[in-house]
Amino acid sequence: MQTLVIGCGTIGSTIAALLCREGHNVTVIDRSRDNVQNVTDRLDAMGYCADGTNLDDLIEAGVKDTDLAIAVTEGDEKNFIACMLAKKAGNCQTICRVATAESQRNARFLRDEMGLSMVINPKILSARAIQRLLKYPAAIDVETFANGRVELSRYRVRENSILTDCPLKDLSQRIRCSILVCIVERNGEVFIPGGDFTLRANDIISVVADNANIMKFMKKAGMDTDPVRRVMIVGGSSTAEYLTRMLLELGMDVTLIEKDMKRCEELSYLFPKASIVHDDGTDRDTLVEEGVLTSDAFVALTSRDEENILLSLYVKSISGAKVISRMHHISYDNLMDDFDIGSVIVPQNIVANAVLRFVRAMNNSMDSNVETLYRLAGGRVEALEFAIKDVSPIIGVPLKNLRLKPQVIIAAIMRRDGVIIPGGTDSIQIGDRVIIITAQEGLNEIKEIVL
Amino acid sequence: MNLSVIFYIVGQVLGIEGIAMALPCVVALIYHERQGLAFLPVIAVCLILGLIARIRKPARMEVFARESLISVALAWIAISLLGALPFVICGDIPHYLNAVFETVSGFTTTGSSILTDVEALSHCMLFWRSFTHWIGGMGILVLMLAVIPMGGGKTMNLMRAESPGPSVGKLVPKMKTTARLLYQIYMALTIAEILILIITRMPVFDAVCISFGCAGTGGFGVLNSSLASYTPLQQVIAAAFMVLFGVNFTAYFYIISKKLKLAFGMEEVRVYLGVIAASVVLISINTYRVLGSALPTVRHAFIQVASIITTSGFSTVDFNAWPMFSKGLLVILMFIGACAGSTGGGLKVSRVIVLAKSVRNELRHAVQPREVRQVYLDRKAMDPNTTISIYRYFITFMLVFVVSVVLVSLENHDMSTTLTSVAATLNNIGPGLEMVGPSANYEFLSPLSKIVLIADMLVGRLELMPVLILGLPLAWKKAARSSRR
Repeated sequence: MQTLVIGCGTIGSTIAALLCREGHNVTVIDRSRDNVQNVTDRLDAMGYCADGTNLDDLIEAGVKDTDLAIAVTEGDEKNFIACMLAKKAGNCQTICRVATAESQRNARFLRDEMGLSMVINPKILSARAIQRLLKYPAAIDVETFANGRVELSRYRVRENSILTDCPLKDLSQRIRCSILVCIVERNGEVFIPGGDFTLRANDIISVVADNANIMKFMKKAGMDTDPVRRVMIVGGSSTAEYLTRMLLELGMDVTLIEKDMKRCEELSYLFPKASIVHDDGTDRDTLVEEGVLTSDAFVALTSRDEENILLSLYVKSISGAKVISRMHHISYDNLMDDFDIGSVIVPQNIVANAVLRFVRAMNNSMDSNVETLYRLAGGRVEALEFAIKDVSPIIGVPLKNLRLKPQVIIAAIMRRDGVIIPGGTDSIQIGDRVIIITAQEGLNEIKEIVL
Repeated sequence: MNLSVIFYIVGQVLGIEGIAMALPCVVALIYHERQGLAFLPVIAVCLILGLIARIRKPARMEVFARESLISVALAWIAISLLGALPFVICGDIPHYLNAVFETVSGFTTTGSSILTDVEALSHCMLFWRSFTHWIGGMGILVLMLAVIPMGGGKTMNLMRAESPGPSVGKLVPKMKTTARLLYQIYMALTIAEILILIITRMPVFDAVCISFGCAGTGGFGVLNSSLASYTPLQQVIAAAFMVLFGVNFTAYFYIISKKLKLAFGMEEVRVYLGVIAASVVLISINTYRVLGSALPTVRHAFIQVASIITTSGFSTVDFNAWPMFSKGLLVILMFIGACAGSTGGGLKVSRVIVLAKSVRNELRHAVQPREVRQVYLDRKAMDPNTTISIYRYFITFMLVFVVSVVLVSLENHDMSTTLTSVAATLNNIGPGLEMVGPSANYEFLSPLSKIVLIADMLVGRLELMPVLILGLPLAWKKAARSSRR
C-alpha cells in the first residue's frame, strides 16, 4: 500500500518504521531536513523535505497515488489542512493527529464532515491505556480483544509464586482456572512457550483469559486484586488532564501535583473533586506529605523521561503502589523490563499501534483477514484476531492434530457468546473469531499458521 | 565495524559476477571458441565464495555508512581482480596487471585499453570486456539490491556509496523497486540501441558490444578503429545513445510516470544538452579547416563531444590531430562529465552548475557584501550542506588528480600525455591525448603508473570516498558498539 506520513518527529518516524516493517511503501514529508534524513537513513522509505500543508509539495511527494495519508505534525491546524488537501487531491484515506483539547472537542464533527478516516489523540490514547492498567493493579500491561471480552495481560512472576516449577500444561489444573500463558520473556529473550515449558521467578508472562478468569487467576497466583481507589499523579500535562477526568468518572480519588501555579488553577477549575497540589512533585517530602504511601497507584507524567524513571524507582522503593510512568524516548525500552519500575507508557508506540490496526483493517478489504492486531513484548510478538469466514483446511480439526508453525499459539477462540481458552480437543469452526499469538511477522491468513 | 556484513555483501556481488560470466560462455559456444573454458574455473570460485557468504549470513544485517563505503570499494576491487582472471587463463592478455587494468577499465566504464590489437581477442573475451561496461555502468551493487533481498532500511547507504551524484535519491519508496526500475530503464534503452543498430545492418555481435559500451558509457569497441569503420549513420546512432545514457535516469522515470513537465524542466539535463550543443558548434567552427566539408565536420564534432562528455571514449576520428582549441575544449568536457544519476563519469554536470553558481554568488558578494543569496538548482534553494560537500568533493578530486599526475610524471613523458592519461582515467573517459590518444593505448606505461591509473579509475567511478577511506585507519576501527542485543 502507498502511504504518506506528514510530519516525522517521534510519532511520525515510529509510524513510518512500523509501516516499512509491514512492507508498505512509505513516503515521509517534513519541513526539517534533519528529521527527513533521519528517516531515510534508517528506513527503506522515501523522504521529502517539504511542507505538508502545501498542495504542490504534496503532489510532488506523490499524494495522487497514495492510499493513506497520516498527518502527525505538531500543529493540529496543519494536520487538518494536510488531511483535507490529501483527501481532495489524492482521494485517499486520512488519519489526523490532534493534540489540544479544543481540537478534540471538534474532532468528531471534523471527522464526519471532512471525511477523515480517523482522528487520533496520543494523549487520550495514553490516558486510556493508563486507565486500563489501573483496572488490574498487578498487570504491567493490558490489551483487550473482541470488544473487551478477552484480555491479554502481562505480569511479572514473583519469587515463591505458585506459578513456578510447574509445566505449563498442568498449570490450569493446578490453579483451577481457564487461562493460557502465551508469551514468556526471560532475560531479554522472548518465548512462545509449549506445554513442557516451566516458569521461573522474574519471568514476565502474558496471559490470555476472559474477565472472570483473570481475577481468579490473580487471586490464585497471590497477586494484588484490590481495586485502585487513591491515585497520585505527578505532572499536570494534558495527558494528566484526560486521565484525571477518566479516573474521577470511575469514582477514584485523585491527587495531582503540578509545579506551575497557573496550570494548577486551570486544573482546579476543571476538577473541583480532585485535589490539585502546587508543588514540585520530584521532592520526596512533598510526595510523602501528599500521601504517596497510602496511594494505591502512582502515575509519573512529568515532561522529562529521566524524572519519570527516578520518581517511579523511588516510589517503588517506599510503597507497594502500582507505578506507571510515561516515556517518550524508547530506544532503551527493552532495558526497562530489567528494572522493576512498573508499567511504562510510550505514547508514540500506542499511536503507531493504533495506526497499524487501521492499516491492517484497510488491508483487510484488500488481501488480509486480520481484524485487530497488537504488538507485544517490545514489538517482538504479535497478537492477531481473525474472523473465520470461509472454509479452510484447518476448520474442524482438533487442535492437537494441527501441525502449527513454530512460534505460533492459538490463544483464544470466541464462539457466539462464550470464550474458549483452547485445549487439544477443541477445534476452530466457521463463524469463530480466533486470537493467534506469534513471533512470526506478516501473517495475513488463518491458514498460514500451519506448516 | 561489522566485517561479516561486508563479507556477505562482497560475496553476493561475486556470486552475481559468477552468474554474469555465464553469458560470455554462451558466446564462446556460439563461436565454438575454446577460450570460453577459461571462464569456468572463475565462475566456480565466484559461486563458491557467494555460497559461503550466503551460508554464513550475518545475524546483524545493519549496513551503516562505514560498512557501505567499505563493502562497495572492496566489492569493486574483488570483481575486478576475479574478472581479470579469464583473460590471463586463456592467454589473450598474458600479464595479470594488464588484465586487471583492462577489467577495471571495463567495470569503471573507462574504456582505456592496454591492447594494441583488439581484433586478436576471441569473441567471448571481447564480449566479456564489453559486458563489464554494462554491469559497471549502472552499478553491480544496485543490481544486487534489485535481485537479493537485503532487509533492513539502511540499504540506502549502499546505493549512495555506489551511485554517482551529489545527492542520491530513490525514485520510489522501496529500495528494491527503485533498483529494479533503474535496471529496467537501463535494459530497455540498451535493447533499443541493439535493435536499431541491427536494423542499420551492423553485425549482431558488434551491435551488442557497442551497445554495452554506449550504455555503460564505457568505450570498449570490438575493432581497432573503435567506431571509425562503421557507417556514419551507425556512428551517429551510437553517439545519440551515449547522450541518452548520460542523462539523469530520474528524467526517464518522470517520463514513464507521465510527468513530462518535470522531466524536461530538469536544470541539469538542460545544461547538459546545452553544453553539448555549444561544444559541437565551437568545435565544428574550429575544425572546419581540417576536414573542409561541413557535414562530416559537424558529425565528427558531435560524435566526439558526445563520446567525451558522457565519458564513453569511443572515437571516429583521431582528435589528437585537431587544433589545440578543440583539444582543450574536449579536456574540459572530460572534467564536466555527464549528469548525476546517469551511467557517465566526470565531476557531473550538477556539481559543475553548483560550483559555477557559487562562484557567481561569491563575485556578487564581493560587490554587495550585505546581499543574502542562495544557490538555486531546479528553482529550489540548495541545502548549504550539500553545497559545501560539493566544494569538498571538487577539492578532493583535484588533489587526487594532482597526486596522480605527479606519480605518472615519473614516466618522463610529455605534459599532454601525463595530464590527459590521468584525466582520462580519473574521469572514466578512456583515451587521452598524444601518446594515450584515441589511436594509441596504455600498454607502454610502467607497472607503477598502471597501478596509479587503476586506482584513479576506481576512485573516479565510485566518486572518491569509498576508495579513499580504505586508506583511513579510522574506517577500520571497531565501532564502539556492543554487539549484544
